[in-house]
Amino acid sequence: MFNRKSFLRSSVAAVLLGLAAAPAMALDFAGKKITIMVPFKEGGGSDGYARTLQPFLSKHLPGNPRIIVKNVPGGGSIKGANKFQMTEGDGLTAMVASTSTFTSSIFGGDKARYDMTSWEPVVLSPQGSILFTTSKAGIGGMSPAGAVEKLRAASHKFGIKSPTGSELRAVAAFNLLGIENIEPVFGLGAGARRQAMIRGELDLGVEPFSAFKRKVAPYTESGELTAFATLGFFDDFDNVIRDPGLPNMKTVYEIYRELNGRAPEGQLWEAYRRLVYMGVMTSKSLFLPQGTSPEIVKVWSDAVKKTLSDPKFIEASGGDFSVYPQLFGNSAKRSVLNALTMSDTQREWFFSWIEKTMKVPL
Amino acid sequence: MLVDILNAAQQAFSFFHLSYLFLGVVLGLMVGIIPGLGGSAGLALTLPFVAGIDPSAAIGMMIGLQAVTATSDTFPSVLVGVPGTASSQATVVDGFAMSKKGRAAEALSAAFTASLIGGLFGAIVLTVTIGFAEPVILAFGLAEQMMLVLLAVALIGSLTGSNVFKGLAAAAMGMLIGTIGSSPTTAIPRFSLDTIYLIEPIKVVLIGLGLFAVPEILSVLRKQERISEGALAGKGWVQGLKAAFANFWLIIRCSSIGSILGALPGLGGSVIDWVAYAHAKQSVKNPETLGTGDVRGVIAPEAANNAKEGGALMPTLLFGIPGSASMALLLGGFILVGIEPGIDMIRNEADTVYLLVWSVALANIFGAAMCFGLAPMIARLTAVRFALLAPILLIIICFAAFQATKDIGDLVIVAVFGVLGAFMKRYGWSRPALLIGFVLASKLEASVYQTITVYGSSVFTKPIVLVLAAIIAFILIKTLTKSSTKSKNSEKPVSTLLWLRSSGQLVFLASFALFAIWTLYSGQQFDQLTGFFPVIASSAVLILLIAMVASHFFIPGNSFWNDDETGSGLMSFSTSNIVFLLFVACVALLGLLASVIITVPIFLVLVARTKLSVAGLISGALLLFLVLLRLTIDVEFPEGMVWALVS
Repeated sequence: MFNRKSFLRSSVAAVLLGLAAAPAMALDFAGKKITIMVPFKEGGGSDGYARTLQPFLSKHLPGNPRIIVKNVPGGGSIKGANKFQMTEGDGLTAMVASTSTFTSSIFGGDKARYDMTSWEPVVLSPQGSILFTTSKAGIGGMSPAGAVEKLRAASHKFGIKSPTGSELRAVAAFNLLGIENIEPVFGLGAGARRQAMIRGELDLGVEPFSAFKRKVAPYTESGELTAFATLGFFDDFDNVIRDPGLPNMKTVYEIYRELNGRAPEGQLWEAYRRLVYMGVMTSKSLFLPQGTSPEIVKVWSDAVKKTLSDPKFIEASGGDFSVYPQLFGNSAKRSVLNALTMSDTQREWFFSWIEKTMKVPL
Repeated sequence: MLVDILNAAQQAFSFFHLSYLFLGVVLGLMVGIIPGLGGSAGLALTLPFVAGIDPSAAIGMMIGLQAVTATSDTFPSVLVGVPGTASSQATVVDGFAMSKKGRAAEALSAAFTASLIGGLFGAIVLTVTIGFAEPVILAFGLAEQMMLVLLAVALIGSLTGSNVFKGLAAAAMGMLIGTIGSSPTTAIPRFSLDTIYLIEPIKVVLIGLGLFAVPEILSVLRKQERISEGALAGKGWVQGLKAAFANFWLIIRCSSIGSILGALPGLGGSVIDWVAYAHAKQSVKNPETLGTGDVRGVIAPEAANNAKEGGALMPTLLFGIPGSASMALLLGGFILVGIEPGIDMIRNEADTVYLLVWSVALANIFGAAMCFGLAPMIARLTAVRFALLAPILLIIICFAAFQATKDIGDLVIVAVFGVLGAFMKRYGWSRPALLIGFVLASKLEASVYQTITVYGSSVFTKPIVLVLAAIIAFILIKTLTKSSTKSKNSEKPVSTLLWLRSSGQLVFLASFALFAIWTLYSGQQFDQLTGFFPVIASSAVLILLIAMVASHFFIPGNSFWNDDETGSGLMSFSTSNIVFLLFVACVALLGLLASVIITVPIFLVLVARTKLSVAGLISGALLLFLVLLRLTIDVEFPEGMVWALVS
């Protein structure tokens, strides 16, 4: 476990670096233990995110601190997030957040005692979302707008984890495109939903880019499933652009414009926009606690940036991090605000829209 | 296919692959033996080291680790009555009973043999089916999955004991407890007492530790000097082997159950061992000896829990859908080294797939061999004076419980279920029935709702559904006829006088009823989708309790009266429960390490009557072990609420 040679080498390197940049390198985590909290149990996407970064952050943070991943599951990430809210911003504790950390802060009621806008984002790792349906829908080979018009006329079943699950982003997209006759089937996670679609029990699906590439693409190639739109991507000026992972596929925004002759606006669009910020732009993220000094945030961000260009990391992460631009600093903060900021009327509309489409009281 | 298998064999038997496999097997044996740590803990710890190593080495190490935990977890289940992982709970029933009779060696050798055959069976099933498993798995849709869950529910009937209503009431109670936490469909928290802890459902490992480990430990502590009252555990290795081969077809049947249920996502190891146990109880001759130290009760779950790995790999490899936390971690590890499970891999990278299968098979062989080698030494534990072991085991239970979610709530739950289990054991309530009811609850609730939403009444036109329905009907009829023939020669109902003498059973019964009334009442506040299952489960508990009491009076031989507590040993029943609660409270308040320093010596001096120096030595050794565990693999201990308040 302990490699003396590389330890010596890195200590020498650290000393040399320290001499070269003495005034700027006041921060040094040498000999420190850093904890990356994961508010979910072992084995999930957020856990994988933390464990992929873990050895590389240790390598690239000044002083090569020991980093441990600590899972604090409970209450759909509420427990971990509440704990993180009270944590001191000394740079020794960071937390991974996922889309459900965002949704729980909205739907968690008074139990969710945390405010993600007060936290300091180190990096946001966006990931696009793709909408698809089964071969039964008969839209293979059609233009996206034509496909949507055909889907509007039919009735659909959509598997969703829970009425406030992160798949709401897809429901908002379907509604925006005028696909409204959707029966939600609750209690189905991504894997179960995908299988039920392949079996033909359900007919609408949504998948993040990496899962789409690995688990849906083989079926779109053989024709059992058909993808028809992406949820798009927001640039720094809040404009919708094509999904960087699938630049040839049209976005929901484009298809809407094509069908309606104007840009989408109004409450449903606002809800959609917010859900895309939560589900695409902040798919996974790494935060430092509130009150962390800008210097510490910068040291962490720099370590992540070095990690991203480390060839070994690119190999270990299977290229997932190079498809989408990773967000730092102000663009990260702006995305968090866009995901969570809601006026009272917007909140009211959002909740009643969920009750209407999901057919359950909140 | 054969070419691929042989190509993969060449890789599998290379020194490089074998050495990593061996490393994984050793790690797997260790985490399997320590209660509270299982395959998922081991895999989580190895993941950081997996990144960047050769894929075949990573496969060897991770599969080696995962596959043998189901072999080595037998040690604590058989020897000290604490399940090593959640998937060997059923082994405790007969395995620990055998240890108490001095037949630990026989139990262990039968278990390892069954594990080995089960593991190899799983590997063969995986080999044969992986090529064409896709259509089979796809044939099992939401409706068929619901029927499989119902099949498991129907099997509970054979685990119920003398009064069938009493057993079913326990199962319904388990289902009701399974509704605590967020609803599997609407995610609305139910009966969570406004705590964050209970937003997520209770972890099954806590219920297993509470219901099975705690009552056994307390009972041995009260009644026996040593675990093994008969001869030393040293003999019986050959009998165990013979017993396993005499029950070869039971092993094969249970292995099939293990691999089929293992392939079903979400059912998990904690129920597979019980289903195998229930199957043994239904299918063997003289089933009444099961539960009293019958080697078949060890063979059945141990074959199934090793065979399940082969099954569980099927959905993981075919669809990239992990059925459990450890499969999810395995999947994560594969992706880290560039192996991407999925239909693509099955179609295009058959040699990788078969390397996996070889790893499963080899890991099972290595694992079983090493367990056989270690067993004579470890089996000596049963000859140690139990009062010396008990405090160590209670500390290990607290440690194991805390690994569930690392919350003080884990200790509270294990305390509640420990006492509940002790009373259930004493008053003859079926603990397996409650546990299986608990595990199946959320799966049953979700799949019934989903099947109705997706299919409506057209579900009865599906052939697999109809076949499964016929099997369920057959099992139910068999259970009912069996229980009515058995009840004829049971004892007469107890006189009313005895009812008055001991009010404990009535208080216990009333507390079940009150809990059900409370959930029935507070279940009304929910919307229909959130509330229907708890309301049905609480009504079922109440109806079955009434039926139980009625059958006691009106159907001869259906007494629900039972009190196992005969004679007094080292301490009384109540005292042993209070000792247990004090232990847990001390760990919760002062922390695990402080408890080892304070509570363990106090217990040893006052109860076990050891010298202070011996007490110090034992608690020092335990402390050293825990500290080493912490330093090497970074596990967390309960830190103690008092220190948090002070600082």
